Amino acid sequence: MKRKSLLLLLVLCAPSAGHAGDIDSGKLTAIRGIRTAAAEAALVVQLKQQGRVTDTYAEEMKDDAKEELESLRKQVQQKNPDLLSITQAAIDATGASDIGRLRAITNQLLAMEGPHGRAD
Amino acid sequence: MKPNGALKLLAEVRDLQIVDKDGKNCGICDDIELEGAPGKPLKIKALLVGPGAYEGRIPKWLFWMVCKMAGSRMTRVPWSAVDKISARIFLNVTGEEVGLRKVEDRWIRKFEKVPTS
Amino acid sequence: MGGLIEITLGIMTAVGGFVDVSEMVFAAQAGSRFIFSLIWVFAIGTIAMGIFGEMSGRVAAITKQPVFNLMRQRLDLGPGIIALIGSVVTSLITCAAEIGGTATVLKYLTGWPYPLLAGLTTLALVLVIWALPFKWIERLFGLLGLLMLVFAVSTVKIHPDWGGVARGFIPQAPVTLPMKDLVTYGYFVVAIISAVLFPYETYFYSSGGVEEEWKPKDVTVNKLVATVGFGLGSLLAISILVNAAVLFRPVHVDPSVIGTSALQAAIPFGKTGLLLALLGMVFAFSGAAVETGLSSAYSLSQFLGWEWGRLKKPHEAPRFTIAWVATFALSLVIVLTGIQPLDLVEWAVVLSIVVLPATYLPLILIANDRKYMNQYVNGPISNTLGWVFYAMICVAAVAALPLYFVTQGGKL
Repeated sequence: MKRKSLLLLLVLCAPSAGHAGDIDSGKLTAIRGIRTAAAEAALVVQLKQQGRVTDTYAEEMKDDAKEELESLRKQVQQKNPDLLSITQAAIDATGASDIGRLRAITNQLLAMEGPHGRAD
Repeated sequence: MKPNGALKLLAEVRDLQIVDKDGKNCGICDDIELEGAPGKPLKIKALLVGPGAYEGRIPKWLFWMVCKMAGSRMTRVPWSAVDKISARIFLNVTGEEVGLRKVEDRWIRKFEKVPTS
Repeated sequence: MGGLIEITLGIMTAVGGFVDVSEMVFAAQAGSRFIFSLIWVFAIGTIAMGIFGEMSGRVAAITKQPVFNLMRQRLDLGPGIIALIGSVVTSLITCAAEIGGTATVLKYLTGWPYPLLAGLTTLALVLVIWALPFKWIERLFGLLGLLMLVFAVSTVKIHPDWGGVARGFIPQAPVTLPMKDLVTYGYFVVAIISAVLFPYETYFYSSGGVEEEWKPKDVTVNKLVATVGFGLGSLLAISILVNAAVLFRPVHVDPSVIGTSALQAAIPFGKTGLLLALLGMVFAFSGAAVETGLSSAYSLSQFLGWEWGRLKKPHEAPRFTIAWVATFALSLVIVLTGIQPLDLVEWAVVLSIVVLPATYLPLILIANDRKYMNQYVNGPISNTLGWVFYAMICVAAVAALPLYFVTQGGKL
């Protein structure tokens, strides 16, 4: 009986032991997607304010970033609802061309990526 | 290479581009028809051109797909129409004389009515 | 003097036509994700492309046959039909990706609706191919694609760590990365090899050689264009990677939108740089669309023995004409379904690498066959490198689909 209980405990622990401290692949993909879309939007807005890109380019790129974020929001709504609020915040910040907020969101998501954040 | 020499039939004849005496493309040699008898040398009787000649060379399911898409027509080109063989099979007649280029010529007549073509 | 002009134009055309939407996307993402550690893959892929490109041109000059004629002869009919279907499907998807990429860039220039721009792009390309002589088509897109050199100029301007860039040419695997990132790195290796060695380039190049009736005396020119042209073109792709590592990585951008790469020229040069980059991308991507659209028609026509060739008037090669017009029409339909160009790029790259072994095997076999090639048969270096790179392609072909699914198309 004791041996069977020990075996059951090992079986239950084995999957979580393999993934201990590591983020789920689907969630990592979503975080990375939101992070880069927010970062792209921030960069475009910054360059527009500096007069280094045309207005047409900046508006179209912002629209593309928003579209990408809307698509990611639909995905996270089903699979990773804990990311819903940060995705919505990124959409709102993109629409408002709020560089500070976009950069803060980017850094927050980068921290969530953990050791996968940057391949150095 | 002239057609009265020894040939590696599969490597040197089958799947070669056929070109007629006017230099026009006339399809690919899709298979060959042989004549002969046990104990006698095999001779090529004709080139077979068209999707109908694929049967026996490809699996049944693939042949069925090909026929659905391209039909199953086949044209026999007599071996006497072959002038020489190198990287391509050159004929000593026009494609039309041996029943080739029917589809190509039909489309050429349609295209000639299109402006600037 | 005329020969020198021809060689120069040929090299310039090869440079301007080297980078298409897939190379741009993967180069930019490779730089921002993995800094300089994937440069070596571009270098090795380009050497492989030079070897196979030179072989296909030499075979075209000596045998007067393009790649797809040879494929059928060497693979036999059944495998040849499968290879043909694979080739036509990948050319179609790639053409759609290039048209989608062109329309996307035009959107950044004009602000016009994407579906309208996709339709206008397709119509313009069909008219250009219909009306212009073959050489003009090649030269038009290749030379205007040289506007992409703004990316190379940006690289010099932003002063990257040149030592790090040089070290990137050494084959490496960043084994200190977490396993997920290492697997994604593996996916990028396979994807870059596929993007550089896209089969349509070989079909187009060898078909052009047959159309232009290259002779043995053209073998040297072919060698120069293939090696120097592709080599310089590859440096352009590597400059996009380096720019992404220096400019995008610090601000945490892994380009998820085609237009982001144009910022590599905007950051150092402002609006002028941006416009040059966007225009360069329009011509580079649309040039690639022309090549993929025509290569699809070349493949079908050559495999089935139809009349073919851009040097012929449309009515002289009607089925070939219908084939390339249909390819553009179907590509437009794919684009108008709303599938993102970046998704099309991923599929094009993955499917292409699966088809590559069937493309290059007949080429190596014929190039090694003295019966076809006489004294122009492969030398020991071409032969050895050809087989080494072929083995590399086979390994990449086997790994492509599993890596695509595990890494979710490199997004992991």
